[in-house]
Amino acid sequence: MEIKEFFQLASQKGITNIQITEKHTINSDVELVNDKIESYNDSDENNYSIKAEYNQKTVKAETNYLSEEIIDLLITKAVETDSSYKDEYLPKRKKQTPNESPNIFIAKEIETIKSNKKYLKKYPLLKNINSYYTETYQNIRIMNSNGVDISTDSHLYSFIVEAIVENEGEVISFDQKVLTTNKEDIDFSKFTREVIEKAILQSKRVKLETNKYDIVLDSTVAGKIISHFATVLSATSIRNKVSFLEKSLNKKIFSNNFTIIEDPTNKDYTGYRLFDDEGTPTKKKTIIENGTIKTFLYNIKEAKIKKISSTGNGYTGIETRNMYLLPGNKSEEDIIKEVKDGILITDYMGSMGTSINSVNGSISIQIFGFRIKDGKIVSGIEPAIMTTTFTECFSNIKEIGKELKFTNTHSASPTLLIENISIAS
Amino acid sequence: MNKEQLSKYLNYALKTGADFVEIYYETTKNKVFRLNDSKLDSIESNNEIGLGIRIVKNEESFYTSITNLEENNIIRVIDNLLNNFSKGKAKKVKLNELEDYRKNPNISHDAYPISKKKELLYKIDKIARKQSKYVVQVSAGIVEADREFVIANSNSKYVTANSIHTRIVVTIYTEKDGIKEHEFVNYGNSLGYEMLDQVELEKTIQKATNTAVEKLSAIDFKGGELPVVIAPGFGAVIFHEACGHGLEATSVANHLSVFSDDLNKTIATPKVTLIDDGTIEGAWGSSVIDDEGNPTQKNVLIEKGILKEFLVDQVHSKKMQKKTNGCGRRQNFRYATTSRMSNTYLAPGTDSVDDMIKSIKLGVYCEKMSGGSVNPATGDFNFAVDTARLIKNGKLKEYLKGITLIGNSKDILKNVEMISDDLEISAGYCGSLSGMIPVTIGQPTIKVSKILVGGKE
Repeated sequence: MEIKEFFQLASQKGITNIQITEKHTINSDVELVNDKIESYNDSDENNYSIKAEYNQKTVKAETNYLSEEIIDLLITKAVETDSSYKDEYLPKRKKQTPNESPNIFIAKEIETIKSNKKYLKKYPLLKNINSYYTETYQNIRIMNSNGVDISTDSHLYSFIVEAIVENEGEVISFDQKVLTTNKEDIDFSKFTREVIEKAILQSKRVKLETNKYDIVLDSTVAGKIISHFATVLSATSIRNKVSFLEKSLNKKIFSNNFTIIEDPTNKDYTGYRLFDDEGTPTKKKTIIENGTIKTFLYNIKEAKIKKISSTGNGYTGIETRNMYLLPGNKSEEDIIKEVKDGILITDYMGSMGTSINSVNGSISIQIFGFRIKDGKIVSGIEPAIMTTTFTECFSNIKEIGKELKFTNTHSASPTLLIENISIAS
Repeated sequence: MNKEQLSKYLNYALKTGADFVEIYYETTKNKVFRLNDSKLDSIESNNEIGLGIRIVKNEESFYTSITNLEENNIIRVIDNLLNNFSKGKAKKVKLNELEDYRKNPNISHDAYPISKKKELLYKIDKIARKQSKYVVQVSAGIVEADREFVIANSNSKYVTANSIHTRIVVTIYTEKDGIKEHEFVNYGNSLGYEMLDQVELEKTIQKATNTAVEKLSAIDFKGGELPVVIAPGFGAVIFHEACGHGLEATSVANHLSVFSDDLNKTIATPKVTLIDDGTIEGAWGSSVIDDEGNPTQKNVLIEKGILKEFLVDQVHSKKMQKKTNGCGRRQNFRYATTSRMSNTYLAPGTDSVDDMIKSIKLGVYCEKMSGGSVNPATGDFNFAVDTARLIKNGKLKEYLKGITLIGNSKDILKNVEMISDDLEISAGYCGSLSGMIPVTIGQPTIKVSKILVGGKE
C-alpha cells in the first residue's frame, strides 16, 4: 500500500492525525579473514515508524509494510492503553529533499583489504587479520497528514581491523575502528599496519597489582562511556525515577573541565541530522557545562509532560547524535607523557545495562590496554577489571585530549586522563 | 511466496554455478505490553516481511536482505550478488514437496484477551509495591513474538515452520536516602499463554522486591582473585560465554577459537558435562527445525571434561567436514544463519550448596548474573553480577556493589570444583554475528575455586 492510500484509509477509519517516518537504508558490508571473504551482506530496506491520533490519544507502531492491519492495530492500541497522552504533529513546512546519491560500491575496497594479507609474512607473530568494512546510505523522510514532506540523508563508512597475535603460546586480539562520512579519510593499509603493531606491543602482557591507578581512556573507550549519558539524562529515565542523576538539574556533579555538547548539525561528524525522527529540528546545545547538568534530553512526549519544547532527541527512544565531551588542548602522546605509573585503556567489555549502570551510576568493566611507566607505553596488560562510578570517574579528570574520534553516530570523546581509579587484576 | 516463485529465484541464482543457494522468506509480528507508573503505558509493535538470499561459492558466503519483494527487485539483488563470482556452469534445482512444521500453541497471543494481559501487569505492580515502601517504580512488560518462515535451497529442501515466544519481564526499582537499586525478573518460553501455568508470580516478585531493598545497603568490596559460588539458572552465562561461543563453527572453522584444536581432549574438570539441546519442549531457545531447515538436536558438547562436539551449521559443515547438528540460527531475514547455541546447560552434580559456602573463608556468592561477553579468539570473557553477596568464614553476609567477574575460558573450565544437583534454566538473549536470538542457559549451583572479582574499597 502506498503512503497516500494508507493516509486516506486511516482517515476513513477515524484516525485524525498521522505521521510516518520512513527510513530507507542501503548497506553493504564484508568480513574478511586474511584475504578470504567470510561473509558479504547487502541490504536494501524500507522501515516505517508511524504515529497516529485516535480518540484524542496518540499511539505508535513500527512496521516495514503498510496495510489495513497496521491501521487496525493502531486503533486497538488507542482503545486499550491507559495513557491519555496526545502528541503534537509537525505543521506544514517547506519540502526538503535528499542531497546525496544512494549508490554504494565496495568491490574496490574488498580488493584493497585482501592485499593486507602481506602483513602475515611481514609480522611473524601475527596469526590472523580479521577485517570488516561497511558502507551505509540512509535517507530519512517524514510525511504527515498536515502535508509535511521532509528528508535528510547521509553516508557512513566504517572499517574495523582485528589483529590476532600469538606470542609465546599466548593468543591476544586487538581491534580498532574508523568511522567517517568521507570514504577518502580511510587509509586501509596504514590503519591495518597500526593495529597490527599495537597488537604486537600488547601481546607482551604484564599482570597488574590490584590497586588504584591513574588511567588514560583512549577516545574510543571514553566515547563509549560518554554515550551512556543519553540514558542517564533521558527525560524518560528521570520521570520514571530510574537515573542516578534524577535530582541533579542545575547542580554541579562533575569536575570543572567536564562539558558535554550535542551538535547533530555538524556535517563533519558521523551523526549528522537536520531533524530527529519526530521531525524536531536539531541544534547545537550544551548538556553539561563545567560539571553542572544544564538540561535533560526530551522527545515530544516527555517535553509535553513538562510543558516545554522537545530538545530534538526523539528517535526510537530518547537518543543523541554527535554528543561529545568538549576537547582540551593536549595530544594523546603528551597526556601519556604525564603519567608516571598508570594504564592506557584501549577497549572494554561488559554486560549491557549492568556493567555501566544508569540506575545507580556504577561502572564495572573488563579492560584491555597497555601499561604506562614514566610517560611511556612499556607493555600490554593482562585483562583486568575497572570499578568506579560516573561521579568518581568524571570528577577526577586531570587532562583532556584535543582530538575527537567518532566511532559511532551517538557520541565521542577526546582521550582522558583520570586519576586514582580502582583496578582489580 | 509460493513454490513456483521460489524455484524461479533459486534457479536464477544458480545460473552461474554457485555451490549452494538458499532463500529465506519471513513474516514476524512482535508486541510488547508495557506497564509503568502502575498504568499500561504503551503497546509497542513491530510487523515485518522480508526476504534473505544466500549464495555460497568456493566456501565464500554472500547474502542479501530486502523488504521490497517485487520480482524485478529480487532479480536485481541476485544479479548484484552474482557479480561477486566468476561465471561457471549453470545448475538446476527442483524443490521437494513442502515439509510443514508449523504448530499452533494451546493459547495463542491473539486468543488471550488484552484485558487479561492488563490484569497480569497490574497484579505484578501491586505485588511489588505492597512488598516494600522503598519501591519507587515497577516496570513490567509482556513480550509476544510470532514468526513464520519458509526456506527453499539448492539441495531441494522446501520447508516451512513457525515460532511462538512469550516472555514476562519485570524490573523493580527501589530508593532509600538517595541511593537507587533495581532487581530484574524474567520468564520466557517458546509457548503461548499456557506458559503462565509454569509461573510462580507472587513468590518470585516478592523475593525480587526483597533483594532490591537489600541491595540498597550493599557495600563496596575490594576485588581480587577469589573463590565464588554461582547460583543456579542464569549463572550459566559463565559457560555460555567462557565456553559455548568458542565451540561454534563460526570461530572453530577459521581457527579463531581457543578450542579449535581440542576435539576429544580434556578441557574441563571431569565434573563438567555441557549440553546444548534445541529440542526441549517449550523452552525459550527450542525449535523443531533450525533456521536452515535442519532438525534441532541434543548435542553433548563436553562430556566429563572432554570436548566431544562443536556446534556446526550447514555452510560451515563443508569447511569442517562435519555434519550439521541443527544449530543454524538467525534473528531474522536480515542475517545469514550461523552456528549458535539454543538451550545450553551444565549437567547436575552431587555436591551440596551448604558445603560450597562452608568451604570458603573469603569469597563471593553470585546470586544473579546479568550477562557477559567473550572474545572466542583469546578466550577472555567477562560477566556482570547483578546481585552478589559476600561469603565470610563459611557464611553468607552483606550484599556487594558493582561486581564483575573476568577470566579465560581455558582456565575457568578447570577451576569448576563443585557442582550441585539443583539445575535451573533461565531465558535470555544472545547477540552474535546472526543477530539477537532467544537462548536458554542453565546450571546447578557451582563453586569455582578462583576467578578474578572486580571491586573497589
